[in-house]
Amino acid sequence: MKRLVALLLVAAFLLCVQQREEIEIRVSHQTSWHHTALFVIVEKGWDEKVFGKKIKLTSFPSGPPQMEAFSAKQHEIAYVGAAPPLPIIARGFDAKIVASANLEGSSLVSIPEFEYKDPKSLEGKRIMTFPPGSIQWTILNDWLKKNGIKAEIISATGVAEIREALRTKSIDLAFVPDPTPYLIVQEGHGKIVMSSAEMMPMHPCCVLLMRGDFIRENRDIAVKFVALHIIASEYIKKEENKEEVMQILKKWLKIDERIAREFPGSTNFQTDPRNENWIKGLEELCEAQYELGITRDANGNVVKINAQDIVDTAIYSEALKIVPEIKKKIGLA
Amino acid sequence: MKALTVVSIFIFLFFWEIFYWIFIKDPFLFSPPSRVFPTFFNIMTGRDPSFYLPADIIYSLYHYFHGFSVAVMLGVSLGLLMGYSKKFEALISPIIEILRPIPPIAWIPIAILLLKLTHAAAAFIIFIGSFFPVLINTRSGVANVEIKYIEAAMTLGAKKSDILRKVVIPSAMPSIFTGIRVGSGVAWMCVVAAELFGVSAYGLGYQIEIARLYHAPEVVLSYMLSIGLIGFLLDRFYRILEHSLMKWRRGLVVE
Amino acid sequence: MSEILSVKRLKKKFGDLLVLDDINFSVREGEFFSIIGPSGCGKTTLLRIIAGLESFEGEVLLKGREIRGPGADRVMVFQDYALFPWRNVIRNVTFGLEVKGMRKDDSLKIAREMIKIVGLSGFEEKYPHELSGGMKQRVALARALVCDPELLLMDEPLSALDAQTRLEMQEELMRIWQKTKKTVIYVTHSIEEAVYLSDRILVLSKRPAKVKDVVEVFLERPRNRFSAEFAEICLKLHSLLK
Repeated sequence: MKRLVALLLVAAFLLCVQQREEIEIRVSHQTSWHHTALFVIVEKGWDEKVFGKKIKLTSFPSGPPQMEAFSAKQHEIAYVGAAPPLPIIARGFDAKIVASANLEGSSLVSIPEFEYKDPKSLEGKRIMTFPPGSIQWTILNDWLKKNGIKAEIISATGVAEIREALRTKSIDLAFVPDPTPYLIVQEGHGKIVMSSAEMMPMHPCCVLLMRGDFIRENRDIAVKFVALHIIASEYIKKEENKEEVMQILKKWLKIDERIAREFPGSTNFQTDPRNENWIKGLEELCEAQYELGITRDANGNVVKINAQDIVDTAIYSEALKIVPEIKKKIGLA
Repeated sequence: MKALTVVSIFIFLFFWEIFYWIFIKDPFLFSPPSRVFPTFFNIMTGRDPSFYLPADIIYSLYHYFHGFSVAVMLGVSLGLLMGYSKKFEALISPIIEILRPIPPIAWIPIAILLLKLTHAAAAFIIFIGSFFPVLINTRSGVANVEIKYIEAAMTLGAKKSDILRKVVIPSAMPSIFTGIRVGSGVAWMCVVAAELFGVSAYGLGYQIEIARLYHAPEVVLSYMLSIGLIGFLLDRFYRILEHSLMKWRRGLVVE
Repeated sequence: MSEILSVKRLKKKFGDLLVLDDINFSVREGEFFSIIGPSGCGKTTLLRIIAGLESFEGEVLLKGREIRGPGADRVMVFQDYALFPWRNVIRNVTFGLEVKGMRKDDSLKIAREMIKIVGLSGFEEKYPHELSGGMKQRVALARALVCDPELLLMDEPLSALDAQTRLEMQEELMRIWQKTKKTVIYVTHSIEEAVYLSDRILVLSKRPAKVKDVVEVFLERPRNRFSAEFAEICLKLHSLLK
């Protein structure tokens, strides 16, 4: 009898261990400081403390290739712009935005010789940006359309291409996310013309995206992760953590002191998806993508996504509730 | 005969449709004809907000003509020289033989570096690809002119320049035309490859990449279809041209 | 009849191989002169030398002048016709006139005349691939004759035809020759053909070829292939060739 119980206990233990080892938490991101919250979580080892193991990270040069991998189910959680998920959700992929990561944070950069006077200065110019579907592509094309300007939009998969094109002056302008504009200015290959905030004020930039079936099958992990995200985003905003954050950025983005100082830690790292203005901003992006014809259903018909339908606020609400408990677990006051 | 062609097309479409619904069923990966054809109609007639096929066709054809015309001019003239003069052949041939095996796609980085992202860069890739078939066929057409025609011309009092103009070139015409037709096929394939790799911001190849980023396989397939159709029409065009310009070949089954 | 072509001490080597050895003969103006000999003896080479298509040692004089390379004064008609397939009949015939620089209208007029003489009126627009062997040979003949050459050189021109057509063409050839009064040097391997057509026949020996004999054919034209005299001359030539 005793032996049987012992055997069962061992079996149960093994089963539990097995279960925990099977669930890998795979998160994707880009090399942009919009995703600083994620860098903080991993750098400070909060993932190990909460989940018992490190999360697996994959980096992408921009949103659209990231979403391709996401739609192939190569990972469950993504730090990505608010725009790239829209086309795949329209086509029928099951995913939800569970939190906001940051607002704004992209800039239109030009070669040093370019003189910007008004929107018409961009007429006929060659502008390079991230691929179709990205925040940059969406906002840029929407802004050009609203101002009645026709420019030559060239696609680049990542910032390396864009920086090279500016260096060789084979393009006139580029629309890129932070910190790249500062890098370009530092190298003397360009100057900042305007920020994305001027094109679409208070626009949502990056969000926390999760696959639908992952939320359903591992809700507790999802909620815990959002809680970590909230905590990390708050952490970044605090003045006393500024130095530490800068060091993390220098390490993760391979930038130097001067650029790291440009980091707008105190602003724009808002996380609440229940915020009305944020929802409105998201709605604006959905509208823009509809106009640009990139959100299409499975039959190929252009459709408009409803911002309300793609956001899951329940997870956020639950996460808020467990924030104090998680804070204790990771050793924060 | 024509009825058979129509039937085979319908059978192909039928299997394509079935294939999708049984094996794929994923709108991210592939599309059946029932989705591709309405999409094709939309992008052809301007009903689609993001894609306009006629414009892309014109851009691609522009790249094609730009690059291919240079290939024909250079290929035919060099081919004539190489086939006619052994000295010239010995001089140029090693360079040609080394450059020829390099696939046009491998030239893309150089083209982008030298010519930036312009139409010229796309035209250059097309030129590189189609130049060699034109050159090689012209050269062999000239080199393989039958001696008997040259000797007949000589005894009829023809001078060297007469022989070149009135015997060598007409005799080499069928080969030259073959070179042009084959070169055209290669040129059209290079168009798509060059545009796909981002040498230009316009054209059919470029839009295929964009459509992929839109996660819209029905658009990708529509573009592929139009690429195939135009390639087919181009080939037809050259065959008809050849047929009408060289009536004297009609009776010859085996040369 | 005056002498139009004189060949003295003609020798031809292909590398180390001696093909023609000390050939001497002359051709009279206006005559039909045939060359016969065993297969491979060099008859065609001899003709090509006269045409200017081969190098040689010795002396070949056309009307007293040394020949230098090919030219329209010695036009050759080839065994496989060598009609330009990309030109139709009339344009084939005008070729020799074009290279002389003649105007298009003039050359077309002259060509049409010659096409009539060779009996091909109505076929001007046809292409070589549409013609029969006999017709092609007539075109080749017309093409050569419009150049008004001093010598008309013919290299087994009827060998590629079937027996029936061949006999017809021999008669046609006679008719055209008598009309145009050209000096013809004619290579053939058929003794009967040479006897039917020629005024004189040069007989070559086996390689290396020497002149075996020059036989005169005194028969009146049109010749009867079945007469005793005809057979006698054929017999004589047969024995010479053994």
